[in-house]
Amino acid sequence: MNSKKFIKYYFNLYKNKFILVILFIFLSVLSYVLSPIIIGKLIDNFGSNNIYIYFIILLILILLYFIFNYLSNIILKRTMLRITNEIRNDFIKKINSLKISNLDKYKSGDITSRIVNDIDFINDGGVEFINQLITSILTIIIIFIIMFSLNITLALVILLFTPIACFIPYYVTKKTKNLYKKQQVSEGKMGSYVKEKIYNYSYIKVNFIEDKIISKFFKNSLEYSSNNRKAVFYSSIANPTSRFLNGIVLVIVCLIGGKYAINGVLTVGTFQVFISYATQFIKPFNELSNVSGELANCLASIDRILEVLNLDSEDISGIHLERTSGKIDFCNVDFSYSKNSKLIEDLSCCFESKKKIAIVGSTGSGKTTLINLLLRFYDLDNGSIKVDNLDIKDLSLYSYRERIGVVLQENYLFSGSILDNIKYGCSNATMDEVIASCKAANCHDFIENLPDGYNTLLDNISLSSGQKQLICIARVILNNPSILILDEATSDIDTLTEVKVQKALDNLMKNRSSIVIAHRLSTIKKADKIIVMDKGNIVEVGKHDELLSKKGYYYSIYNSQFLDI
Amino acid sequence: MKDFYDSFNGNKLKLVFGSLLKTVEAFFELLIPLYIANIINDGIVFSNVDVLYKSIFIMILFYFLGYVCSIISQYFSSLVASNVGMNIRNKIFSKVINFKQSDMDGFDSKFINTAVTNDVKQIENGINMLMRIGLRAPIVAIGSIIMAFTISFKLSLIFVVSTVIIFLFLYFFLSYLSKCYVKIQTHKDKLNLVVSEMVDGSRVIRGFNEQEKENDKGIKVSSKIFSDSLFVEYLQSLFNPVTYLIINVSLLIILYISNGLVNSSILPNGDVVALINYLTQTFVAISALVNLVFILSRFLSSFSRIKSLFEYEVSDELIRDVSISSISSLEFKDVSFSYRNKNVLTDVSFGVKDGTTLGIIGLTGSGKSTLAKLLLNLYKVKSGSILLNNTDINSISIDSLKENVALVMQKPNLFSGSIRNNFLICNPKISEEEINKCLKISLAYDFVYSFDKGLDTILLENGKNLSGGQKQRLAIALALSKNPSLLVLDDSSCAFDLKTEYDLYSNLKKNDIGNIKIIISQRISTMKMCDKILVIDKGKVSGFGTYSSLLKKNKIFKEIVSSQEVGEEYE
Repeated sequence: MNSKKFIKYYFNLYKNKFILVILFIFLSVLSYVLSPIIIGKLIDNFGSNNIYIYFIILLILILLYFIFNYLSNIILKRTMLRITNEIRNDFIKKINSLKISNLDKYKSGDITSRIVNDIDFINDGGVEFINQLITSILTIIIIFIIMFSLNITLALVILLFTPIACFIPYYVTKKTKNLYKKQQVSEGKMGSYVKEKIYNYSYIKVNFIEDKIISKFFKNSLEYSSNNRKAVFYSSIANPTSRFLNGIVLVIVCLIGGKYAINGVLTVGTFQVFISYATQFIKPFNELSNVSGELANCLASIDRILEVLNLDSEDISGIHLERTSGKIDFCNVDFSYSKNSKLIEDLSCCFESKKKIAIVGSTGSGKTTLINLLLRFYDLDNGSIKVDNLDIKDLSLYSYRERIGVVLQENYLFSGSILDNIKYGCSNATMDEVIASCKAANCHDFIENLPDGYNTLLDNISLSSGQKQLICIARVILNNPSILILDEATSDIDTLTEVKVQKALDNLMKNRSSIVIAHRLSTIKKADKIIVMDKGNIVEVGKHDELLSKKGYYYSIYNSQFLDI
Repeated sequence: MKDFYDSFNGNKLKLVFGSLLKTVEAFFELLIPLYIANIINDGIVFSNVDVLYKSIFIMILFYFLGYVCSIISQYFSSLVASNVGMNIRNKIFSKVINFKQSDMDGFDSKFINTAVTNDVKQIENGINMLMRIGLRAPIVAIGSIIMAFTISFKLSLIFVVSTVIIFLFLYFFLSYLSKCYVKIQTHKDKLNLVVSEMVDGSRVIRGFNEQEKENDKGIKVSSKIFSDSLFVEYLQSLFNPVTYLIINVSLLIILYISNGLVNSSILPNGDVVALINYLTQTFVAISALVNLVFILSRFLSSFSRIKSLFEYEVSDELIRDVSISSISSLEFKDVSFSYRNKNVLTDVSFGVKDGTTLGIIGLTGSGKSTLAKLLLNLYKVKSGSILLNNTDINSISIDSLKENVALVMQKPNLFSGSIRNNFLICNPKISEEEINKCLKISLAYDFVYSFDKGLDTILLENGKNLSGGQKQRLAIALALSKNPSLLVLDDSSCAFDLKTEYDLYSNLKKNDIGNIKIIISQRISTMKMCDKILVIDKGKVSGFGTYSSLLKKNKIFKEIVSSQEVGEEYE
């Protein structure tokens, strides 16, 4: 979808509201524009009895403007807020449905900047644009009609010179669109820089690199500042230029109108009317000159939002997987993150149902990648992965992932309470079930000892990474999956606690397929099958004793435990 | 607040000059209606064409001069605003980066992020608009009133009354509105947090099929933003119509009274026209002021946030004047430390000399990592002292610490940008040879050069495009590049398999890295490679000695060893 279709869609959706806004703006502009005429009549009728009618009409016009101006603004702003609320919600849903391969391309700071800042720009810019565009266009049209009926020459003079007054600001704002884009880019760059450095604050302290971080920041800051200044200055030229040119129009009106008044063609009152229009209605011309700038800003933000909305989501369709025995087959799988460096080539292996299978290998050998592929975070280049002889591409993502429980290398917890985190994925669990899972994961005790127990908010305390991991394990235990995947899960926990967790995981792993990527000998030894990987390929397969006797790759890893330096 | 005012240094003259020019422009604007009145009173009424031409000429001149002043002044206002904004931004960032870790812990990182970016932007905007409209609009408004006084005292009183009413109305509205804005900003901060989690926790969300839940979380915050913003709009939209009402009703009253005065020839027609023009000028100025008021309310709320950062008093600086060229001994003497009112370490004492590799082992939360953080001076001890070469660590110069101590943290930090750049940040003079040497020792050489661009490969935010083990090896290489005499590895090999770990530590030994090495780990395999081992339990030293002596005497150590070596224990 491009920005044109996008805008058209929302305009159509709220067509009635926009029409109402236009109508009310029209009525308010009418009341506004007619006032000077009534005032002109008043001036011409000073002392006569007719004047009282005009006082009443003027009062009515003032009240009408009040009502219609307020109404038009409220309806417009409410409609825009509704629209941006919908866009924001769509954006949120999109983030959660995106393919991981697409989402990984973005820094989180960039995404949050889009949903907070860009949506604000669309809202504010959209309101200003529509308001100013319609108000100024209607004002100008109505004025011209009225002026034509009063004095054609003067009306033509104003008509002749206003395009000039409009063109120059328009030209200026066109030039500034690029400047604003540049400014936004350097703003985003600076924002990501700050976010990253604050996040890695301890690293900066620990390495005493404050000075370098600060001087690099100063460079970013300077670049942003100069881009910002240019954008602001050049766009600010439009306004005074407009005022000046309109001043010239006023002078011309005074000259011609003055002469007409001297010659008796115009009354003083009508002279004043033309002056009112020439001075008061600087506003619509100024607004028009702003309008293209507002639109440009708005469009730039719409593009940034659409960039994300147009990305591919995960394909959730497919056969529902009610249950699975947990038999997984990799068949001739090819995959690489980038076209240039191949990672996995023609990999085939079988993970039998209800067995504990350990994957071993040096870092970068492709173990985590297997998990990414198994969970369908990334798509295969070639080959297939089958569960119970069904290609996982044909299964519905929801039911498929429902059968798998994962404890990943990064222990990610959400802000909120500990209880919320443990019940993640399993909101129907009872408190008893939660406590049982936590006891099995050996985190029940330390949670109970916290000031608010299970309701302790994670923002208020800092947990050690081991404690976080235990909570992640409790989370999986509660979810009770058919297939268990543990990616170096237990390496962050001290070994005594790990023993207790191992006991629980052992129970959990009975009658369940489990795939464990671990380095701990104790885990590997108990596996039903060990798959040894190196550089994206499987080099050895077998049980612990078999592999040792082969005296191959596995043998050399195992032996390093006993070597002295 | 000295910091805030200092940010204006070098810009004060520009600020004054720019504002003055705006004032001049305003004056020209104020005089225009007089000349229009002149045209009517002297020109039209007396059919004097000369008066017409003279007035026209002066009006053209005034408009032109006003235009030139306006452009120049806007040049200065954008310059001053961005300069001052940059100064403030730079000051805040430097101050924050130079905080102690303990200072930083007291702040919410979102607050700091917003302060440096968003809040400073509001201040820039505010300065810019203040310079452009802040002087001009009030001058035009007040000036118009004064001009009105010179025309008719009685009628101008009505002017004054209506202006006062409008200002009062603005003031109370503004203060109420700014509170509403603060509330909306809090919701936006929350949205920021929730969406960050959606990106950072994307794998967990999909793994647990909780997309709906996350959607609901986000939509909930979104609707709060919507409803609060809607409320504010209901109020804010009143500004324009209400001020219009007040001004035009006063105009009505003025005209009504004028009706009587014109009859008795007290007031010429032209002057009535001039009054009307001044009134409309005031109206336009008030509209501009209204706009300024909104910008100001955002300016003020951002200002108070930044103020709190400027006024924050950093913990005391110590006198650090002792230089050390190389660390040959390290001692903890009765060190106690607590964090957020919890005791983390109690009476920790031990010492190691030149050439020792010390292993530190303990359970989760035993305080091992804290030892490392104290060594790097991230926090100050509560009691006791840490001695390097028999000198208190608090009196050692920052440069000495920088050159001699390197720490690799548990979760390795890498900056986005090229791999080469990560090295250059720590040590700008490092040669490619030296980088490669460090990479080879930390076993990172192979994978780095397996990438197309080698050292120039770009890392994503936080090294997202590397695996855990790759990140750790790179982090170790970075630490090595500093050529430290004290190397501290805090559980930095947990992502390695045993063979890699063994190769790494043998490399460190072979290449004579560091006089003293401290390796914090959970693994017995690591401890085996250390000369001395310190066992920490619940923040206290449980044992200190060689592998064999601890195996004989230390209960906890024995338990850990047996749990890691044999699997039958818990069959």
